[in-house]
Amino acid sequence: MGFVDATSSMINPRARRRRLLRKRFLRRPLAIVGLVVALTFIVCAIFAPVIAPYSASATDFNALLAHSSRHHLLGTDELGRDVLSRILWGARASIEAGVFSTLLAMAVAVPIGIIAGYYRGWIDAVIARLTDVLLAFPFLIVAVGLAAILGPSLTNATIALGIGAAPALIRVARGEALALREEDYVRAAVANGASDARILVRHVLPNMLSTLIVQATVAIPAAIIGEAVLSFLGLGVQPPTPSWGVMLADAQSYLSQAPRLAVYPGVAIFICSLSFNLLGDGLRDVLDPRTTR
Amino acid sequence: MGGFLLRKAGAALIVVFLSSIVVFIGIRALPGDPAVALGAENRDPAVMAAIRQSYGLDKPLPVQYVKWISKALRGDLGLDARQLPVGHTIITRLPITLELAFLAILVGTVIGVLAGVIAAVRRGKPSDHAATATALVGLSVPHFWLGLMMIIAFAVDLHWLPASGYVSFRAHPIGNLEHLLMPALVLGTGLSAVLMRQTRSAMLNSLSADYVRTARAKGLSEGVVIGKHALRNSLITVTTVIGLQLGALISGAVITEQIFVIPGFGRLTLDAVNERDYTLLQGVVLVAAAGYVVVNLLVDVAYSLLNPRIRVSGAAER
Amino acid sequence: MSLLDVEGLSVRFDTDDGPVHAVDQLSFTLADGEVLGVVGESGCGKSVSFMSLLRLLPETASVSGVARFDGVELLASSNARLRAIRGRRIAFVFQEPMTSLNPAFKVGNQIAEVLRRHLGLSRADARLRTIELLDLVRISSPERRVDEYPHQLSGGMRQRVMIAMALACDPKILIADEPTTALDVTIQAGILDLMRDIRERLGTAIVLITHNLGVVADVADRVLVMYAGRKVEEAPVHDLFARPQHPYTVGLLGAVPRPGSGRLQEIPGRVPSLAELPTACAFAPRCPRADQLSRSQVPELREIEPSHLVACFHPGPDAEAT
Repeated sequence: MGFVDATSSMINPRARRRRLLRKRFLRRPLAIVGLVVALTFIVCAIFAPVIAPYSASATDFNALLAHSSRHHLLGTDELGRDVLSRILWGARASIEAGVFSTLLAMAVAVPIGIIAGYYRGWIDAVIARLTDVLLAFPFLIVAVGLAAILGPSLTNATIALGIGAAPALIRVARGEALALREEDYVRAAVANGASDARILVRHVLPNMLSTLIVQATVAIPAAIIGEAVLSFLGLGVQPPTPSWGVMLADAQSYLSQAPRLAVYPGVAIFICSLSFNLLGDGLRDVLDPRTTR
Repeated sequence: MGGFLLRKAGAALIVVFLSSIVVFIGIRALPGDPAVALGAENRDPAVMAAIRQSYGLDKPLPVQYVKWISKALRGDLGLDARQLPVGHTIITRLPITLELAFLAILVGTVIGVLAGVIAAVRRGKPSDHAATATALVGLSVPHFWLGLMMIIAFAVDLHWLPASGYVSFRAHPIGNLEHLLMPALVLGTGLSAVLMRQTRSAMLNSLSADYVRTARAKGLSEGVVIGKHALRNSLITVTTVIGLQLGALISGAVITEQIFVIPGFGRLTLDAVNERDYTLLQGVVLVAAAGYVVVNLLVDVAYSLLNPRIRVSGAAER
Repeated sequence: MSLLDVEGLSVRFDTDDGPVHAVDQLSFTLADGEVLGVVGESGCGKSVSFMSLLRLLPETASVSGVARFDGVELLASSNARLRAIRGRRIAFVFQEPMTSLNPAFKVGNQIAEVLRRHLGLSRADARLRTIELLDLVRISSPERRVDEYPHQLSGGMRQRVMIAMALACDPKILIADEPTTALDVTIQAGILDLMRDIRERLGTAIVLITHNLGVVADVADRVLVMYAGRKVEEAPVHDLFARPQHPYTVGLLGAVPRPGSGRLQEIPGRVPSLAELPTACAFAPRCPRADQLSRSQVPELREIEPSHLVACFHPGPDAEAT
């Protein structure tokens, strides 16, 4: 580490902290694995059109329910479509739903939660009751309802998943805001006459960031599984668009003839969500001041 | 404790009330003529007129709401697309789902708490790593897929358990359990994974607490120290977690019943949507929301019984 | 025959950052009905020494030495044997009454637990005896308190409950680890009164671990001063206060606030790291009397007057070198 690096990190505490966090992260092999695998899935999702050997709907009636071969690494399904390609294309739906629904949930939940936690009083009570109402409807029922009103589609499924994840995030954001408002630097800012908006944006939000990031990496796998569930039930992605959930639904009719059709998409969901979970766990450890390594 | 519960009950009532409004508006928001939505698919003018009358569809919304909710409180949730009373359908199918949910909670809690305690006591050792890894897997695996895999393994390949269907307990107790075993396991997996992690974390906190040191210094056996002193304080966390997971449990029940073809309340929701039976959907969602709120209240009761700080002197919780 | 005879007790912790020698070759005896004050700063090993006797330390601790209690060799005893002694013949009172009692159980339940475990009392008998014990430690309305939870009691009352719990089986030794540190000064006096009372009425030997010399002056018969894991001075209480020999003891006495004593003397410097065994006097870096000798050799304990031991190359009551 050169002299210039040393001094600049001495001067800049943020850079120093980031370096420390990076070091701690690198000591955790499982988290690294999680990160790598998750990124792989994301890359597959983005570049599916380029990577996949076949298009998702290209049928081959000469090779129905075929076992794995040179042409079809994972075999074909009941319509002769290449399973591997469909898995790669399916990653799009899952990652899209997973990431965007979480972003939606955050965009909605964080401001609401911060306001509830920071201002307290009647606004907190109202938000608490509304959150409870949202929670009273298990997310599947909400998704079902939305599908009924708006028609089933990936977009609607994403919205439903976002709404489902929001209440828990509101609780987390509220808890953080509640704790942070008692911090000395916040009180100092108030005493100096800073406007509420400035305090919330400059002081409260950045310090919640690590908790929010951890929550996000944990919410994404839940949303990925959620999308699979909704598509499985016919409430999300509509065939012929590929989605792991749709593939599982189709596989149900062929359980005795070709059980492997049910295995592949399930394993894909499992590994994808496991990687995000590992990443989330690792990040939580890294950011927790109580862990020593 | 009285004050605490009263406040919780009051909040619960408000939530149920607000939920009913949401349900009400949701149904009215459906595209098309509400009368058609509410069951007059056959378009018979007489039936449509009767529906308009009974739901007061020509009156202003608040009046409609009052009409609907007062009927609902009396148990009259209307007739579904097949002209069967919704209330009756719900009452016949609800116990099945409740039995499934009960078994799932039982399985999930026993496995989750046991695994969590063992992992905490044997921290850092192989059994801890194994349990933690299993919990992570349990969290990441999609449960409906697990169900499919189990059907393939146990029903199709090994023929040990039936792949689907349901038999009532009174008719055939063994058969009933056989049919519900896989579904309960599938449904309970998610719960047990979450519980295992939370229990382990709570137990690690308890085990390093001063009062555990005191218990050891008193000469109590390790079993009593862990099983009585440490565990008791962790149970408070466990109850909270179960309460939080109930929503996921209901969602899970819907899919589980779908896969294993169990004629329960969860499947009713799907059927209602697929068949565009909005009267049924309305009743089902209302009951689901109200039921969930009630169960949460029960969890709060359990929590207050376990936490002496609430039970005695009614101190407000954080 | 002394009640407790400890020889060459050493405790080493194996931490991620290396070994920590918390206690180094500690030896002392405790006679029946005697009150021994153990004094030293936080981290000097006083609590650890006594917890090690009953194997109450975490697994990372390695304990060596000999500790004879009433004919039993404690450090070589099985876990079962130790469990029979804990709470029954040697009892502990810990520093934090807030957290040392289990918040989920009634106070009476926690005391009765000891009675039923060691003395096999029935529920009814245990309850009666518990009420007696609460009365013994001067808690008012004991019949009502028995059914209360820890959070319903004040700090002073909780500590009395801890003492009652420790005395339940009439132990030979009561080890009180900083029993008054977490309490208000006014409450402290009450607890110390109680300790004196216990010694008078029950004849229990008491080990009073504290960093507060004032507390020791009140109650103890003999005092043992520890520094950096070693015993540096030991004397009957009056002798220690009248003629302190080790510069650390002198420093401690200078730091006790007394009316009219003017400015408090502090001891400059900090407690040394315990990562390695000392090759010189551990106090040398902070000692006004330090010289070549104390910086190159470890001082051994010597008897400077009857029953008065000190480990110092330059003992004496004055702050300056003799």
